[in-house]
Amino acid sequence: MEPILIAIGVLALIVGLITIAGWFEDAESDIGSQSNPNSQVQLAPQVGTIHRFFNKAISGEPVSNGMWCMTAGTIFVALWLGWNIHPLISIPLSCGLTTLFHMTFATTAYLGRITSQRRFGQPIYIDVLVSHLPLIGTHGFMVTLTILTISYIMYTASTSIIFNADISRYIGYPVAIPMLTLMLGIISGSIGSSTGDTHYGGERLYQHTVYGEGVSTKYYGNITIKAELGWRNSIDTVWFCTKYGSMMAGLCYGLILLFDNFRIFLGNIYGQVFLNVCIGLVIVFMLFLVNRWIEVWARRKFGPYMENIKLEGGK
Amino acid sequence: MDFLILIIILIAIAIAGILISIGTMLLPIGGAPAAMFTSTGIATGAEMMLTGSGITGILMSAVLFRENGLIVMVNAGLSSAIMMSTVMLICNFLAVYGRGVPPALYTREKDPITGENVKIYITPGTTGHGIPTACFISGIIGAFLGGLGGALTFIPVFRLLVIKALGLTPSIEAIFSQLIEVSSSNVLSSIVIAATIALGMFLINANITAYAIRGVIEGWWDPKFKNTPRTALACFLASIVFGCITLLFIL
Repeated sequence: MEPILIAIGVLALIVGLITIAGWFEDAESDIGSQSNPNSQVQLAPQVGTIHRFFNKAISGEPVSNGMWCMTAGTIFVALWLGWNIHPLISIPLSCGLTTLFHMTFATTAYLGRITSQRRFGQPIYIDVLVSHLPLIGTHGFMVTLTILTISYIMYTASTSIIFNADISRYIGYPVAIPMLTLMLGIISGSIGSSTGDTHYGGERLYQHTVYGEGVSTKYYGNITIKAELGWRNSIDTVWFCTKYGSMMAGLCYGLILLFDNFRIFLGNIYGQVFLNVCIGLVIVFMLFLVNRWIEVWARRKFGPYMENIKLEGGK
Repeated sequence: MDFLILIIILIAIAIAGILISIGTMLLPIGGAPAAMFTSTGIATGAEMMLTGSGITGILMSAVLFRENGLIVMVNAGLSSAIMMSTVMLICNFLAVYGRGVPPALYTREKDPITGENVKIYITPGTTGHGIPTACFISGIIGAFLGGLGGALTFIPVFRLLVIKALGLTPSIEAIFSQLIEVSSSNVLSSIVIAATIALGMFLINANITAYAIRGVIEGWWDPKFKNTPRTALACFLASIVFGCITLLFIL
């Protein structure tokens, strides 16, 4: 088979996988209230809002994601190269073992965080812990599985011959698997934390406030605790956020990897590294134009805040 | 080994520290309040965002390990800029379609690039939301400088390790020019060490700069940007110390 066709197939596969990784990564952080909106979940009992959200901020999202992915990558290399287990078996096995590690951290983080809020009357709900842990574990499993698979594919593409074709000219990262999983994990956490979490923090946590305005500091800590039926928990949150916020985080990660690899790909086909730079500049300019369009569209559509232009009657 | 080569690598690492520091100052960092659309910028901390965008550049440097040093640096910077601009674009999509707020600046009445009156779009009780045009351009430049700094750390360290592994004589030309006839399987360990060192550089310099940012910064027009020279000097000194430790480690 033509190497270039295999390279295109590999590019499509990794972009699809990384989109799933970004999507599940953000959903996992929404279930655990990890990342920046965690400040509100942490603050809520202090302003008298007792909630049933899961609260685990083990560390910054990029670092913790890098840690899960690197743990899975290290176990995978030990199984694959040390014990000669086939990658198709050792990848899920290593991700499964990492999930146990992840759930242990989630349990201690939840119990530790909620215990520290006892003085504000926040109880530890054991049913919240028990019902959320499998969900956190499964979402974490999906993230480590996809990122480890991508790392394995990219490592193999850059160092080995696939289907009697050398595609290392077109695609692949020549980085050892544990390091590559760490790097891709940190990028995924950084994207999930900066994009998808705004949908959780800005909209889902404050659904009782007016849609169409930023959350004023006077509402801080006063999060929405009632659900459609009964008390809201983090499973309801992820049901909502995965439809837009998490999906956009996945799209963002997919686009980044697509643009970056497409650049290398085209540059290598024509054997001109300078072409990479030109394509990169064009991509940045196009992104800038789309951003400008969305900004102008939003300002025209929503208009200024009426209090700011001395008009009465709200927004 | 030639003493001059070590000095040049040390200077490269120190300049990379300055570039990373200025890059971090230029990123529109909103911190935790931006996650609730209470402040302008990207909803995460300076270290996390710079590390995320910088690593994209390091991955690009690793892919182009054979190429000329300057080309690698520009490509790494562009990779970081692409990562940052995609993130900022998606942030705006989330602000506009997820919460219904238009992008707005707080520290200026008018957008420094387009000259539009942007303050009227701000919700009372907040300090802006989303990523306006000026923040977008500032973020692109910041990420580019960050990626450039990362590559400037990565290339000399990586090339020195490869040259040592191949048993060649190190020279300035060999460090910054093309590497020919080196297969990717032979450079794996060198790439891992160099990438770890570049990752350390991002975290050290972004952390020092985060103290000057104190949570939120909009871009080059923000009053906190005046702290740049002092912060860059601190990063320069920290990078020299880090560079000395790195050289002791790899020699």
